[in-house]
Amino acid sequence: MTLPEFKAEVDRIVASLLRIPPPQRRQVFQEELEKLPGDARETARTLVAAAVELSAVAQEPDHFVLLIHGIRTHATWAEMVGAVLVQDAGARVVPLRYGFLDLLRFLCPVWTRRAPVARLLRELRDLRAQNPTAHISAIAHSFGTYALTKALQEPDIRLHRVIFCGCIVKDTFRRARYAAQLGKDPILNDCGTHDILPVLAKSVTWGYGASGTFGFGTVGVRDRFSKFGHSGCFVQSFVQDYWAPFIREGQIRGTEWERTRKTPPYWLSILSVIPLRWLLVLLIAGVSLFALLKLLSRI
Amino acid sequence: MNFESIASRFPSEREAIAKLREILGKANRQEAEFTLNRLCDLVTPRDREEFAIILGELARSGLIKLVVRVVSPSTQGGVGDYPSLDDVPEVVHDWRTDSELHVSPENLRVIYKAA
Repeated sequence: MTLPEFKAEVDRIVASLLRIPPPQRRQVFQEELEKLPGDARETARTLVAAAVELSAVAQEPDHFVLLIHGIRTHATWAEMVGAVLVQDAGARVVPLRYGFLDLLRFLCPVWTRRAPVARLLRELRDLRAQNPTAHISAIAHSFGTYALTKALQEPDIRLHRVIFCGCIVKDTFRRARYAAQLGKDPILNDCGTHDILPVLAKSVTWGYGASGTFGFGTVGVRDRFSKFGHSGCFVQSFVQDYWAPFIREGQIRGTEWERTRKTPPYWLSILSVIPLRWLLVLLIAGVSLFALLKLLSRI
Repeated sequence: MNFESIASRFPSEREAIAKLREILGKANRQEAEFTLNRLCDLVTPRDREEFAIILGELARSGLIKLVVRVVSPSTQGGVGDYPSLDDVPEVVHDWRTDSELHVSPENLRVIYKAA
């Protein structure tokens, strides 16, 4: 057999295998190899195997993981998390960036939060349009958790697995409302018992909750507690040990801290129910009134 | 696609895949290269044909690199590496014997390298 004949034969085998469904290819593959002379058979076997899907087991659909960051950041953690999930979970990672959301826009309860949500919706729809059969999961941090739950209010958004960390979503959130849009696994909410920011966010403005500190405590959400602050989960060992197994196969591992942690400090619980936002409103109203009276007195 | 997902699709070769991952992890990326025979000796798969298919999966997913090597018929030493079968020319200069080599399938070896 000459080299051109061999190339043509390998091409022919590849083309014939591609015409039939993967589960039936193995049988045909063996039959085709038998027709080749012994010297060529081994080389053809490895080359064809590298060119065509020959596994009898159906291939899992592609799995994309969208990384959604919080405020006042460009999400430098995304590269590390992405690298781990590619390696350990076999996922394709899409870090989403919606620009630098500053504190004022984060706090303002109207208008300013819409743009990141709209951008997230656009990305989710684009990804779905390009990969109609793929699994799409999401890891959201801080404001990203808020944006993601807002995006879920659109019924065409479907997600396979969801991880929250540094979550600021209101604890009135109910997964059951989105059951048709989410996979069978619970939402994994990684709470930092030393994370004060969700509590502050809940206290100083409208629309947020302290679920990243105290958890949701609702059916379909697994609140997992760790001894860290707002961004403490962005450590490679944590991502490898706790996120990759969940993204890969829905496996949730408990932390040691969950078994040993004590009741949260009383002041933190008190802060979570004190509506500092009204003090801010009163302060702004007072300053405005004072300025107005001052102005009127001059006229 | 990663070693875990491939192992889940070929459960009978899970041990061989784990050994292969370890070997590739330790391998010097520039120098370490293996034939199917060599890898079979190292990881002792249950089924050699199944293992060739697994290597194909790994090559397609980019976890392992594959080159086609033309070997000198007199010394069995390599005289040229090519990224695919299509890239192999019909005639190669066999620098080991300083002669023209008309390549035939028996002069070809598939070589696996760490990606």
